[in-house]
Amino acid sequence: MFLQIKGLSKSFGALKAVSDVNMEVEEGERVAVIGPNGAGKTTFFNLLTGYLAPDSGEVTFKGRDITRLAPDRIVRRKVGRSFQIVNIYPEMSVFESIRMTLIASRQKSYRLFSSARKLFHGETGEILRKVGLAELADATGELLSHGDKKRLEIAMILATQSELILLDEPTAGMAPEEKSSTMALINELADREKLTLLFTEHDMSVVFSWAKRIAVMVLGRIIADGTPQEIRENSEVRKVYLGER
Amino acid sequence: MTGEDFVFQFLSGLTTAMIYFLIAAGLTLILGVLKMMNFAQGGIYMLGAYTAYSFMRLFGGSNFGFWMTLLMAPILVAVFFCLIELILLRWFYEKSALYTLLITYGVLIMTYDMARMIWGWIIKTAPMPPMFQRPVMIMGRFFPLYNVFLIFMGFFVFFLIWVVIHKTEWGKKMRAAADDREMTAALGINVPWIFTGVFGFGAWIAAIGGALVAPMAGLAADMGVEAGIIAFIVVVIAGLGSLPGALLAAFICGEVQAFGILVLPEMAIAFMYMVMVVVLIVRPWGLFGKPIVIK
Amino acid sequence: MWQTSKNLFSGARVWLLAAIVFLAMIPIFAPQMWLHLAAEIFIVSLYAMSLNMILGRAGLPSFGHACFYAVGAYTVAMFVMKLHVPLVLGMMAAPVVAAVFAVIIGYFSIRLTGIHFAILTMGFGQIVWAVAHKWYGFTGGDDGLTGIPIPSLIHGPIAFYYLALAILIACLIVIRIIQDSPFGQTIVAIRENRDRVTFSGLKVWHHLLLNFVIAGFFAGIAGTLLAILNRSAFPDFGYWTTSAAVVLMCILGGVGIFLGPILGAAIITALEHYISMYTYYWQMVLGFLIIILVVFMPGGICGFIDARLKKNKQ
Repeated sequence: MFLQIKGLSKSFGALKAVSDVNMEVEEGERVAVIGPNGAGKTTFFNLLTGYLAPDSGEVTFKGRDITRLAPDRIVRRKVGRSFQIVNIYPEMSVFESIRMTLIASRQKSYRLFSSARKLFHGETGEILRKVGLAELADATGELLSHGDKKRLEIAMILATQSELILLDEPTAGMAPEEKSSTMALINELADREKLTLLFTEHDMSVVFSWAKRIAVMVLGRIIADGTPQEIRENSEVRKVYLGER
Repeated sequence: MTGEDFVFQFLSGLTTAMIYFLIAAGLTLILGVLKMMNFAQGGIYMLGAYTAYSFMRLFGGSNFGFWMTLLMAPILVAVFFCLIELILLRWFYEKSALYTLLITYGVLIMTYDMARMIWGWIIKTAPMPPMFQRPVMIMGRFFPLYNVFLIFMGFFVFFLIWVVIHKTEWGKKMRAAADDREMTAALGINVPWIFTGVFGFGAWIAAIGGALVAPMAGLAADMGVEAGIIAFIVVVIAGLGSLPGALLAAFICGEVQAFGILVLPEMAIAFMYMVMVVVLIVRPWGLFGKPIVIK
Repeated sequence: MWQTSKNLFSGARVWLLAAIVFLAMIPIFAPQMWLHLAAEIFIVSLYAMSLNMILGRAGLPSFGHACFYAVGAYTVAMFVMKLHVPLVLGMMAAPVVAAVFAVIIGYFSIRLTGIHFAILTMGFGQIVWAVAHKWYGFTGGDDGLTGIPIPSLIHGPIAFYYLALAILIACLIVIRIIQDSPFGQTIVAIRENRDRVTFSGLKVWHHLLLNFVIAGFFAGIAGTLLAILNRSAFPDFGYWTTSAAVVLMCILGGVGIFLGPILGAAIITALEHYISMYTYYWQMVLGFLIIILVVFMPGGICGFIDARLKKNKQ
């Protein structure tokens, strides 16, 4: 079992943000986590990536307990994450950003007396090609378009060699064509690099086009978990989404 | 240590505490509303003292003169610094805090020479008003009446500030601007003028502090340096922007000084810094501040 | 304000070499007083460069850096005068002692950012100053430790000039190497986006602490030279105004340029020296200049020039 979540719960005062969530994910799966706003999806991701500590429950990844580890250690265990609000290095170039991430993930960050410029040249180039940012290698981070920033984020996640990737609303703020191409890129990369994906999304067309499995989270609980067809026919889900587009 | 000794030291510390509070209260206000660390606060205090000195001399060191000075001198200083705020500071509130830090630092060191140019380099002493020129008997020991007055003034100023902040229209606007600058401006309130007013008020308090201290100590242009740092310490221990915190923190610092002198006279000043450092390590947001996320 | 300038000093190797040769030749035709001032500028430059590792590179405003400067000075003074150890050993011990102080102070300070960091570092710096100021037995109190015996080899102004210059250049080379290293990149990345660095799998505060300690180390080296220049160590070497002054120097010169702090250090040190010759009121002039600087040239002088260059290119 690649990722196993048992009884995960987190409350903020009286608010039960995440309530007794159980989930099992196999290697290579593409799971979408959907639900209305405020359902607890981001909290859920924060718990999985060590940003928040759960009140109770267990998260096991590749057989090892990662429940209460610090975020940096979870990343080193090869669990990566992208953020809803794009989170990149504003003044570094695309090339430098990816190289920095490689420096970090290959444990070279304490090297004081070698030149950073000479490191990971080839690998950085490779990652640039994989995400299609090769022409923008020297562009400054904050000047990139929204879509390219997302690609950069994905590139950086690739650089961390993550095997399980949590994507928080990867196509947020994009036009339909961009959504398509971004999801196509993500899936292509996932196929090629043998990644397991867990992603949240609001756009139902994206979800139903790209997810092989959907989990529905409402008020912190998973109320349904299955193939897109099963979810479409699930009466509880229809109740929740009735009236919602 | 006897009971009388203790009370004496305690009152001594309380006097010091009130001086610290007067210097720091203005800074707390400015920090809380303008979110600016005003390095020049010590300089304002110093100029307040010197201005009061001149006024008191003008009135021949009389009692009447003393009260007139308290009324007029701090306002003069406050107006001066309002001008500085208008010309220099108000353009930099939105930008990185480092700008206002440096500008106020520049203003601070200019105040040193300003004082020297106007009043010269020799240490001055302001005349003690005759009505206070007698001691008071407390538990069989003589304690300066002026110090008692100072302690009362400290509480009075605290009360005054509290009333202004919580019971006046202006105070309400101040608090709104402190919480949410943009929203307050969107409601049609002229935020820049509020800020100027707060800065002036904060300067006024510091100038009053200086004026009150003038008859007690020798005036030198660099009295603002140590005062400024003490204001810093008090405000930081208090929690940036907390007025009751400032009173408590000033009290702690004053008493630590007073009793620290008995234990290790040379290290008294170090004790205050140590208190600040301990507070910052254990509770970086100060005693009354809002908790900030660490790491 | 934090932006690294890539235009200025690109292809600068030739310029740097020329500058070094020029500096090396100065003692031949310059009067003694200038040599003293120049040596002081070298020392303060190193001090400023060390602060910029924290201020400019890591983006943390340290207002207590003078502490390590003073510790360096006092250590060499004490080693030579109390332990009767040769000056060279004292000079080697000083930055190590400064680094130890940096570990302790950094451990507590590095958890904070912005104004809280500024105040806590200032507080620690003031504690060290207060101890140095009051402890007559150990540190000589507010008299300081005077009369450090200096070997005749570096006694004269010309010899000391070359010593200071040599140490400055050596340190600059090391600092440059560190800044260009993967570690240096990590620090810059932390400044730009801490969370991203954490999510790349690194412990941010480990790196910041190491950076802080290295900066303290170099400040300690500057402190030893200061002690030798003055033949003494004084408590005011560690007063908060010394810390504030060096922050100013970095910002004046430009925190985003490698040699920016040196420019700032040179200008302010020379200004203090010359203004005080013409007027007693040099602080007023300095204060005024600071204000002008912040208002009109927020990127520092180098930042200003850099922006001009960018404009011209367009």
